[in-house]
Order: sequence, then structure tokens, then C-alpha cells
Amino acid sequence: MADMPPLIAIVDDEQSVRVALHRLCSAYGMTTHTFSSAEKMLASLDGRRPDCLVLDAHMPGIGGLAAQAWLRERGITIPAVVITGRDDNELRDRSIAGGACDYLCKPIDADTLIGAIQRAVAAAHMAAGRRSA
Amino acid sequence: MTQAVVPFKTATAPVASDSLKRAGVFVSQVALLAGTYYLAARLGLAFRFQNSQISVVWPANAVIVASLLLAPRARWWVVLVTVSLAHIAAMSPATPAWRLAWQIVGNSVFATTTAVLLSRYAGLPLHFGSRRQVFTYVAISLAMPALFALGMPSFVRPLLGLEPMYSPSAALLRTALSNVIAMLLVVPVLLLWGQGSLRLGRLTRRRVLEAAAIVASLCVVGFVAFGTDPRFAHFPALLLWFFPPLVWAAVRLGPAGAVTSVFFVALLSTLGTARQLGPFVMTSEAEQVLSLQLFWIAIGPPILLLAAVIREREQVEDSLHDQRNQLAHVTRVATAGELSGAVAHELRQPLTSILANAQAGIRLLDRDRVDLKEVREILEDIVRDDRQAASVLARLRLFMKDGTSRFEPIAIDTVVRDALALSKSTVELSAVEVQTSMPAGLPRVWGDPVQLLQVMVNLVVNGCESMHLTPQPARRLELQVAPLDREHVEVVVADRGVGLPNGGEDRVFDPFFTTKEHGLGLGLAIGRSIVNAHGGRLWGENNADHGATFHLVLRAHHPNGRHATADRHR
Repeated sequence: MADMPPLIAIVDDEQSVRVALHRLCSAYGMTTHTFSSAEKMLASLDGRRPDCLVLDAHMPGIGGLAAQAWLRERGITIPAVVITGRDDNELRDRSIAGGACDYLCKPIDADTLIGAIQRAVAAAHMAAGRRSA
Repeated sequence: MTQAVVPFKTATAPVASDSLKRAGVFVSQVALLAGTYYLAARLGLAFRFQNSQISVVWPANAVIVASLLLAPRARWWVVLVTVSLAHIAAMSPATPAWRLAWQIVGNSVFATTTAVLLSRYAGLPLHFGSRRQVFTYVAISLAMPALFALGMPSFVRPLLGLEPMYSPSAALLRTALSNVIAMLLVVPVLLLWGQGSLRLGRLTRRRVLEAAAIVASLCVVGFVAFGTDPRFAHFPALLLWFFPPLVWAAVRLGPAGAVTSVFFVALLSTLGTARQLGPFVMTSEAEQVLSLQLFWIAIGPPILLLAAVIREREQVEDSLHDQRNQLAHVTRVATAGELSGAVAHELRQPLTSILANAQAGIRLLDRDRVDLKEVREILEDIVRDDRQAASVLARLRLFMKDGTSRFEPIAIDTVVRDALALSKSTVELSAVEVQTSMPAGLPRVWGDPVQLLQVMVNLVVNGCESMHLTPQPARRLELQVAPLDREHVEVVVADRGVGLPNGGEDRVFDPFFTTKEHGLGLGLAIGRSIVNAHGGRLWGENNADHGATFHLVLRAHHPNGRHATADRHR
């Protein structure tokens, strides 16, 4: 399990951003799935669960925050990194309160994003380890 | 002419050719002046009273006054010397030297003092485009020749009993009138043509046709009034028929057209009367000439004044036009300020993709085996995103364009699409769904694309902002473009927001009326004034259920048709 590269779900309605983030994560050795909406991502959870979500805060339909709430209600814990085009303190607080590991403003530097994803994945692993111990 | 300051090390050849050119211009100007004066003096002599030194009109003095007004004061001596020599050449060799000298000094004093008075009280350049200038000009043109006539030999010598066959009072009247005519009829023509106020090359085809029609009607009236037998032509009402084409010229062709038309009438009436035709044929030649002169004095000043009044009105309209454009620009900049947050947001998307793509690419290049195909795809995506960002900026820059206005045929659906592109982020941030309906083959409209874009952006942004209390699924903005009839195109913008104040739907078009926390409250006010200037209409009404609908009706542009819009002066 530890040798397997982490699976990252990238959810953004902008196709160009989705593709670029997918390339970046792949270049850092991660496996990615991309989704153009939160609904599509949530519908895919029956298969392999991603180790981390990269969620755009603003999307038509279900936004990033609503998707987190949806997962929480069903007791599904997947660490999430929220990305946004708006540097908004209130949104940041609500995201963190909703369980997001990080809140990053676009454009996002590779080190920042990859670091945030790695921290989120590691924290989840540790939590999982504690649970299974 | 001012001497150019030439640095020391400049090559001498261009300087030499430059001063040569200036000397050439100077010599040709002097030659033109001498030639014109000579012709004018000969013409004046041709219109002389029989057995008298006095002419019907003395255009030579008009040439001096006009030249002094056109030349810088430092060159006045050149003008005076040139015309003096031309005067001697033009007069009969039999004229005694003392008489020539008296005339030259008298003419020079008259022209110089008149030019000084005109430049001081009427203001230079003389454009005959303001009532004040025309009043002052006419007053000086009546007063100065009267004073001048008092000092001329034709009055002084009979007064002293040296030429007892002439009456001094008749000589005074004739000398004064011949110069009044020169001032009222000839000087304005020389000045306005000399200053290039006509700019023949810039006249529209329509104006040229109008000018031709005016000339033709003046010729017809001239033929009937002054080209027919005195028994027919003695009806005084015939002379009134000159007024319609003269008024037409004053209203449509400005001061230059007006003075030229009056001059033309003077020419026609002189030609007729000289052939013993027309209403002014009388037993005494003196009466005949006096009738002509009084006729000209009666038509000249009123037509000049009318042209000035019309020109003043046009200038007021022009300045209102400019002010509206400036105001439109200011509110556009303010709107752009309000949009800037949304535009910044719009730039974040391509910037995010570009950064992630570039950093992924660098990472890929560090690998042992580089997948060049993938690197190429990355670079292509970067180029595409960068262009997208550039187009966002270009739209914003166009929107902030300066305050000048330019009318052209435009596709209204393009304006609507550009407005949606500019307000894209505002629409998205307000979570508004936009529905557009634009059939193909819409007629073009005649207008200023930037100003109409401003109106559309304003309607879209207002529509979005009015829906901030509307539950999200219902936030819908509908845009419809459709031909209203053969002559008009209508744009309808319907929102589901708070609607307009009940019973005062039109108040939103009042300046400074606003329901927003930010914003000047000028958007719709300036929008309506822009649309009015396009000959269109903009109004709003409440929907039966929720929200408001704005209607923008614009005139369709038919390539060969007329467009009676406010760009008349452009």
C-alpha cells in the first residue's frame, strides 16, 4: 500500500486548469483522476477512493464546500485541499472548519500545491494507521 | 515667419534649401498680392462713375485689409509697399503724382487702422462664426469708410472749390459706400477663402451637391431678377426670391458659404444692371449705382449674422457632444473599476494553468527520458492560455479607450457577445445563468461600438446585481436581439431581480439614482444619453412576475440610406 502512488482527484470546472494540475501532479509521481464537477467526483467514489481531493471552491452546481459537507454527512473522510480564485478570509475559515487541510489561492506554485497534497495524504495515512492499530 | 534656431554642426545644405524654399514662398506671396491688387484696382476702375474718380465698389482696399489681417504685423510694411507699387501700376498714367500719393497714403491709413481696429475689437482670426464678431465687423465696416471718405481728394477738393463740377456730399456718400461694399462683400470672401476655412477636400458629397443646388437657384433667380427687361423686372418682390437660396447657404454651408453666395448675388446684379437689365435700371446712373449698393448692404449683414448664429449653435451642439463623450468615458472608467475585481478573477484561470503547465514541463525535462510530445503539448497549452489572458486585457483596454467617439456600421450581436465576455466573471460570481437568443442575419446598426458596448455591459452587470437576493436556481438573465421592424433592431435584457421602483420605473435613468451600495448611479443615465445620441431609445419596465426588462432600440444601418444621427459634425 505504501509503495503505491497516491491517487489524487482533481475537481475543477475549468478544463485548462484541470489538465494543467493533472500534468503537474503526474510529473510529481502521483496518479490523478480529473473531474469537471463535484457531482461526477462524488458519483465515482464507489471505485477506488482517492487519497486526496483537490477541490475548486467555485463551480456551477455543487461547489467545493458543499462537496465536503456531502462527504462528512456520509462519514466519508478524504483529505481535501481547496483551491480558489478568490482570496476571501471568510471562505478560508469556512473551508478549514469544513475539514479542508489547506486553502490555496490561484495561481498556485508547484511546491505549495504538492506540499499541501503530500501533507494531507500523510496525515490521512497516520490517522488510518492509528485507527487500524 | 520665425527664424529657426539651427545647431552649429548641422549640415548647411538642408538649411540653405530650407531658406531658399522660404524665400520662394515669400516671393510668390508678394507676387500674388501684387497681382490680386492690380486686378482689383482695374476692376474698381471699370466700375467707375462716368467722368468721376469714384467707383461703385473699390475691391482694392478690400485686398489690402484682408492681406493685413492674414499677414503677421511685422510684415505689414511689405504688404503696404507692394500694394502701393501695384496701385501706381494700375492707375492711369495721366493721374497726377500728388493724387496718386494722396490715394496711396489714404488707402494705407484706412486699411491699417481698420485692420488694427478689427484685430482689437472683432478678434482674429475673423471666422464670422460668432454674433459678436459679425456685429463688430459690420459696425467697423460702416464707420471706417465714412471717416476715410472725409479725407480723400474726391471730397476735399470739391469742398475747397478746386473741382467745382462735383458735389462734395455726393462724393462723400459714393466713396464711403464703395468702401463699405468692399468691406462687407469682398473682405469676408478673401479672408475665408484665404484662411482655407472651406477645406474643399473635406466637404462631403452631399455638401457639394447642396452648394451646386444653391448656385443653380441663385443663377435662376439672378436671371429672372437681373437678366430680364426692366419692365418685367421692376416688381420689387422679385428681389426677395434671392433670400431662400441665401438663407439655405447660411444655414447649411456656414459663414464661408454665406459670404460667397452674397458675393455671387452682387456679381449677378452688377452684370445685369451694367447691361441695362433688371430693376435698378434708372435714368440717372448715380441712382442706379446707389440702388445696387443699398441692395447689397441690405442682404449682406443679415445673411452673415444668420450664418454666425447657426455656427454658434453648431458649436454648442459640438461641445455638448464632446462633453457627453467625455462623461461616457468617465463612467466607462468607473465601470471598468467595478469590473476590475472580476477581471482579475478571470485572469487567474489562465495564470493558474500557465504556472502549473510550466512547472510540470520543467519537472518533465529533469527526467532521464524526456517525452518531447508531452512537452510540446504543454507549451501549446501555455500559448493558448496566454492568448486568452491577453484578450481579456485587450477587451478591458478597448473599453477604457479615450473619450472620442467614432461611428461605424456595427454588428449588434458582436456588441452583445463582447459585453458578455467583459462581464463574464461578474456573471459567474453572481451565479447567474445567461440565456441569449440572437438570430442570424441581423441588420447592422450605425453607432460607436465602444459606447454601445458600455451600454450593454451596464445592462448585463445591473441585471446580475439586481438578482443577489434571488434564490440561485432562478437567477437568470435573458438577452434577446431581434429586428423590430425594417428600420430598427431591439435588444431586450430581462432579469429576475428586485425590479424597478414601482410607479417610478424611469427614475433609474436619473443621474445619481442608485440602489447599489457602490456605484455612481450614472450608468443608466449616461446609457440613455448615449442611446439618444444614436437616435435610439432605452427604457425599462417591471416584469409581470419578477424582475425588470430593459429595451434598447437602435436604428438599423442601411448602407446607402441616410442616418440622421448625432455624428453630423464628425
